[in-house]
Amino acid sequence: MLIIAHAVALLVAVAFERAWPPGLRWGGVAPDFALILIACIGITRGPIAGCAAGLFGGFLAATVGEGGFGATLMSHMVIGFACGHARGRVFADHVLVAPVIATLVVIVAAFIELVISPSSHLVPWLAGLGRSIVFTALVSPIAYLYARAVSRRWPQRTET
Amino acid sequence: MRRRPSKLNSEWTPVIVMVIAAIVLTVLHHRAGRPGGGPDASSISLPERAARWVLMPVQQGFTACWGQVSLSTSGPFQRRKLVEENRRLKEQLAEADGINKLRQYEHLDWLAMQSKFRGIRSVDEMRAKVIGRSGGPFMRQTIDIVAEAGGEISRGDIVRTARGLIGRVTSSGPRGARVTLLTDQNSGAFAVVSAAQYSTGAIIGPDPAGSDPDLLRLQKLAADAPISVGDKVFTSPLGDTYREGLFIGEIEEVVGRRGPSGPKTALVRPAADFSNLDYVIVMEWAP
Repeated sequence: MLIIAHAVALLVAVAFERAWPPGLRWGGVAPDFALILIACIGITRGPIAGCAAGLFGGFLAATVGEGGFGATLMSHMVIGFACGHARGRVFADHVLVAPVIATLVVIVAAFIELVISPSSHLVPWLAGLGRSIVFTALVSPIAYLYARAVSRRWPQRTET
Repeated sequence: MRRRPSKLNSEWTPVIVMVIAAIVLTVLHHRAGRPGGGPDASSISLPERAARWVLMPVQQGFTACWGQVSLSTSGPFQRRKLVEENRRLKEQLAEADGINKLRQYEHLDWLAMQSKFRGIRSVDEMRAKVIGRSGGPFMRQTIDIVAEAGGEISRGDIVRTARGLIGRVTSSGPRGARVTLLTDQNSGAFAVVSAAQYSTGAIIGPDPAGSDPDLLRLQKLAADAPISVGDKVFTSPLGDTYREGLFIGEIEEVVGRRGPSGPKTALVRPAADFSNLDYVIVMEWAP
């Protein structure tokens, strides 16, 4: 049930991001719902669940997204796995941790993608990255509250 | 050979399996994207087709919801604005009809002057609704479209609005297609400047140094090409990517050239409004 809930949430997040209306975009940039959701799943469920969420969410994001396919997939998996390892080491029960995590994960994911498939236009890319960070940080509490609620609804039996 | 502790194995085995799955998905993606790859040359692998099959209707639903929300929230407060907008659009439509007729004459005139005249042939066109847009920090500019009235969109089809060219279909799936816009950094099109003795050049994505992401670079123009601000730019018959004679936009700025005999570069303002794409026209195209 938990897997279905997270899979549906990731699917909705990717579709929602892609369908984000032009009037609510900031310089053409929409918030990265999928990435922050993967990070939140990792933080609340651990590295393996985070990596699995990264694989599924990254695959969906790569299917409809703009970056390199492998780069998107890898960056999302790394984010999920790394956030899973940060579980218990951060203030995982505080909603205000979400914008901080969002800032970090957007930067890390963008740089992984930049290394694997470099952008030829660095200045516009940096401007887009800045917008993406702020926008994703703003919406991150929603993803965090969802992941925390699901985690409390279906608590883990054993710690990983 | 000694075995590692079982706890470590149990932690890493799923991760290794997932990494292998990711590699397989990436390989399938690249195999399908190769020229001539894929069962129907749609350039997307089977898992991606399945993902899009699920995602496209959800995306379409969200787009419709956003439209409804926008209408219902703006209704009571912005009635006057909408009436004014409606009047303005009607004026623009009337103007566009006139401009389109003028362009058709220009196009005929231009075609007649081409040494590589290929003749005019009728093309099948269909209307499509935009259901998704790119939104990441990368400068990739794409939109997702679905054909109305059950039409079929194929890879390579040309996409335009009533005002001008916007891009081409780079992949098509069971429930929609992906269009790479002219403003994409990897986009390109051969172009001619009509008023400058049909000087040929190449549109190569957006201007990387500019603040306006909608301005296109027109490069490789001859050093003595007599181009000037306001000249109209059309697609050229040199390339097979686009049908010749499609209106792209007007020259907004002549940037200059490298050295006294280097090729000229110009910035082109596209005629289509890339920030406000709701419906587009898909032209069937097989070079």
